Amino acid sequence: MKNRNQRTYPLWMAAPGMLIYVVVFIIPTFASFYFSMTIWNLKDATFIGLDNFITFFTMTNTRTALINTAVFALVTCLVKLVLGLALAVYVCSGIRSGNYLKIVIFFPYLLGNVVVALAFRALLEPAGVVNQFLNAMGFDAIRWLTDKHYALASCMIADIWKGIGTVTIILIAGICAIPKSYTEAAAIDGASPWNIFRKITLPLLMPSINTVLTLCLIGGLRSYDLIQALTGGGPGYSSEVLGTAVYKLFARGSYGLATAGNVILFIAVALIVFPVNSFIAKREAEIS
Amino acid sequence: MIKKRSFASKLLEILLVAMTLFTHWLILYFVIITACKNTEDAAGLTLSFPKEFSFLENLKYIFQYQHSALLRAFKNSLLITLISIFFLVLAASATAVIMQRRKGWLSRFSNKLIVAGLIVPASVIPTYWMLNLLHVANTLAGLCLVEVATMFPFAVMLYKGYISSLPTEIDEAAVIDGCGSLSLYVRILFPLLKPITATVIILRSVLIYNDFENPQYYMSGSSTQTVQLFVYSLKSAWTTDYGHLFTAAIVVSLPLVLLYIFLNRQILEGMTAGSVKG
Amino acid sequence: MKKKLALALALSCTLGLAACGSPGTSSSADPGTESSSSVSQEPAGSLAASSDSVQFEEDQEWNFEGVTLNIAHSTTGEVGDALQAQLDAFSELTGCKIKVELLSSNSEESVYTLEVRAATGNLPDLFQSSIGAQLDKLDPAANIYDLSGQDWIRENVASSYLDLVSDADGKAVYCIPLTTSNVAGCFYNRKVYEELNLEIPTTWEEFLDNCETIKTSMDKVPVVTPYSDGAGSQILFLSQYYYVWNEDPGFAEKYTNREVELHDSETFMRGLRKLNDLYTKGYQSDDPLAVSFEKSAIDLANGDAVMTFSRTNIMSTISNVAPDKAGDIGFFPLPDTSSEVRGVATWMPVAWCMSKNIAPEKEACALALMEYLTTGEAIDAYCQVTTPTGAFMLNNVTLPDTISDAAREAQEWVAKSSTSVMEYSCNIKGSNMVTILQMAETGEYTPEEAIAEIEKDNTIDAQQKGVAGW
Repeated sequence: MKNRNQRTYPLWMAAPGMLIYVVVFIIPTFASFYFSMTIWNLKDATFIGLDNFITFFTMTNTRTALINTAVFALVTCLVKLVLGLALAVYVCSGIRSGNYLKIVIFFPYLLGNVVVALAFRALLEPAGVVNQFLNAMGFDAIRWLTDKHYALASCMIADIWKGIGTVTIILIAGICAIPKSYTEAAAIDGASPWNIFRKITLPLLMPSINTVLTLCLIGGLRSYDLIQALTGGGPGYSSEVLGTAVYKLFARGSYGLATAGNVILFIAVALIVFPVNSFIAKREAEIS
Repeated sequence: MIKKRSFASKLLEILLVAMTLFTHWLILYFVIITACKNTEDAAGLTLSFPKEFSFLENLKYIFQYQHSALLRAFKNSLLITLISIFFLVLAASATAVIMQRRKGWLSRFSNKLIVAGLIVPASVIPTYWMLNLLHVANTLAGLCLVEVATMFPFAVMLYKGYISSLPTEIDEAAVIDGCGSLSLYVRILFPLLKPITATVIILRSVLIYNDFENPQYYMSGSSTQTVQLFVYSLKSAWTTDYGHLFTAAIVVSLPLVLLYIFLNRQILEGMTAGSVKG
Repeated sequence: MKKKLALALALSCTLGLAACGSPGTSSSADPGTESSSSVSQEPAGSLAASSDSVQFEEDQEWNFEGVTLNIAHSTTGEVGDALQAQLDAFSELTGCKIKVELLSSNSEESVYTLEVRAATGNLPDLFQSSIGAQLDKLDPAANIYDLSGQDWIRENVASSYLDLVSDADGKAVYCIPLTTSNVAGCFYNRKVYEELNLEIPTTWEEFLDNCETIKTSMDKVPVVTPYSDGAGSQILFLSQYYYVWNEDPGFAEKYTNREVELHDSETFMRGLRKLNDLYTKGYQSDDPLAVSFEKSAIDLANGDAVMTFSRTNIMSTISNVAPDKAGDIGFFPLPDTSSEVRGVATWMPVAWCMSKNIAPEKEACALALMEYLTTGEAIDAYCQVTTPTGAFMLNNVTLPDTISDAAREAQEWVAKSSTSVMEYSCNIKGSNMVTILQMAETGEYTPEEAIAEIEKDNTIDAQQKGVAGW
């Protein structure tokens, strides 16, 4: 029996895919642990122990980048989740424009990050449309991209604008999968809409929320191109994230140090994403 | 009570729809209207109509720019997307079939490796180092390899999820009918996977076409430039020449936007299917 | 007077001053000249002058039908078009095909691109590269074709340039100049200066006084500061190096060997203090991080701003955006403490290099192209597209009449007192230099804090490069 199973599903059929994956993804990932502890010029690597990591944590910009990355990932993730959830619940309540809203909100997903960054840069320029609007309303113009208090927030707004569609669509699918009979029964029993949402919809939606949180956190921690094209990490280090800091080091030829930055990102993702995942899995188990 | 709620609900609906006018349509309008202006007019960054309609001039300019670098970039982006997707679909579906159906520690181990790949960010420079060892650094082939490898875990998970819903009796019947393992996959299983293959194609080609980071790291240099890199390079070359910049942005985004206009239902459905956990 | 002029001419020759026009090519046999003469008001007018110019040897059999050269450069804008015109002309002359690949116009990105390609043996046949200490990154002995054996190289290329692109013992020669040199200093609007009766400042004190006068008497920005631009935010700081060098010509070497610290040199510190002055006294643009290089050129030309610290390439932008205003712009060096000591820092032209691993069947063609690019004929092709703003660093060529006054004034300073900026003699430069300067320029850092950050950043860079003693 076992033999027939192995004959019907031979390993060589999985080999091409796994080979590419292991050679181009897994091996470099393991290699990065070694190279992050070297001074490396792509040809020769000199082992220096953990010095690169110490350097990475003492450099002004990379330290700021670590904090900014965490803030960026958490804030964009939460905002997308809350807004997306509200939208999804509302769209699923059977409104007529639901389809229209879905289509419009999802649209930015189709655009490249560079294109989105370009559009936002023009909108947020000192004399751009947003400030023209603020002026017309009697407010002072805001230096969206060149004031250190606003630059990171501007990047987050652009990222949320682009990413909220995906979140909403996933949550809508999750809500639609909940049998209508559950909520209808509760409504007949006199439960308020808020209670229905809290006691029925939300627990049943946990798998989708888990997916969304994981996707958004990973995406947020890895975010690079949108910020690079919008502010380049500036002004100062106010919107520097790991992605932009690593690229800067990379461009100066500090490959070992840049790889250390990559490994730190790797660890950060593991530290944040795995606990979030297991926490939600536990909640899920408790509820059901 | 019920009547009042439905009124509030209607109002909310109208507000929401009206809001999309500002958050989405206005931005779209601004980009299009700016692309229709000449450099001087566009520099005003206003929402007003163009003084003279310059879209065609802008279009001509960006297509001729640098001996039609844009056309070459389009060709590259198209090639990269098609080649990567082709191999991704073949490799991921075959691997998923084996991993889902075959028993044993190897399948379980591969599964762990692939789940890890869903979460772990790729390490950039060691990947470059590997491409170099394989003699495909800075080539289209090298970039395609990277795209296939990074998209692989997600695609395998999607396929696995779908295959687990196919009864094993199908396989058994085919084997009894004399199907070898290859023809089982090619003639029986792969056709059954059509819906999920469509999802993989739709979701991943958007990502590959719009990818900026991988081409920037692994294909630096413009003989093999992609459209996203092209727009980025314009950004530094023309800093504030928004008329031309936005014309280029529109042209580059057009293929996917057109696709979305005609296939939005399928794309949204694919998105939903793709989000179901593997 | 005559003597002075002769001296200046002699100097400009030895320094390889800007050259547009190679009189010898005015013979009708030359296709380049024929087309140029049809364009009036172009630099080609200077072709009529005569001197013993270097001429592309027409009797030589150069037929490269069927050869395709791969060329990579990162020059855009009018200068990029000028390069293309040169390549097209060569292509027409010899029948070879040229495939051009445009590298990122961000210099750090393109350096990285070439570096990894050099490390992996994938360099294009001909490519643009930075020179000086930055050239070392490409490991020239292993990757770049040695041109020292070519008979034309010492004849055509200025020796001061060859010094920068040769190996340590001066034997191998790796590059030829690709564009013109760049001189950094203060560009000012003469009309406003006349209107306010301002004198050209010879010390930083006088400079600040002028700013104060401008600020109080009219609604104009005294110094437009294009700090959104990576280069724009470094110019003043980097050009202070002339005074550092003037005080101690061995400074860069000592710093590389870690014998001096940057903050020990008060002269070096003054660069940061000057930036700080502009900020604290409110003489710079309102939102400097939003001001682009192009905007600074427009404002200066229109007189909305009165001065800017820039390089001579700003003149090519001005002649692009406000052609009739180029004559209103003047030049003076960055002033320092003494009116007796004034000078400018220069950027040498970036370079063309040839790959050492070039295919044998392409070698002759590539060498012919390199030679062609150092001749007056190629310079003619260049000048038909754009007016040069600095020196080509080629021998035996004269300045075209159309060169702007400001660029000419800048070149006079090059002849009088100048040095090339520190990065040609010291490869240590941290990855955050631009950001740190931008923060110093917007009051985030005091000069002392900024220098501490720069030193910290540089230390990391030196360690990552494995520089001895760090």
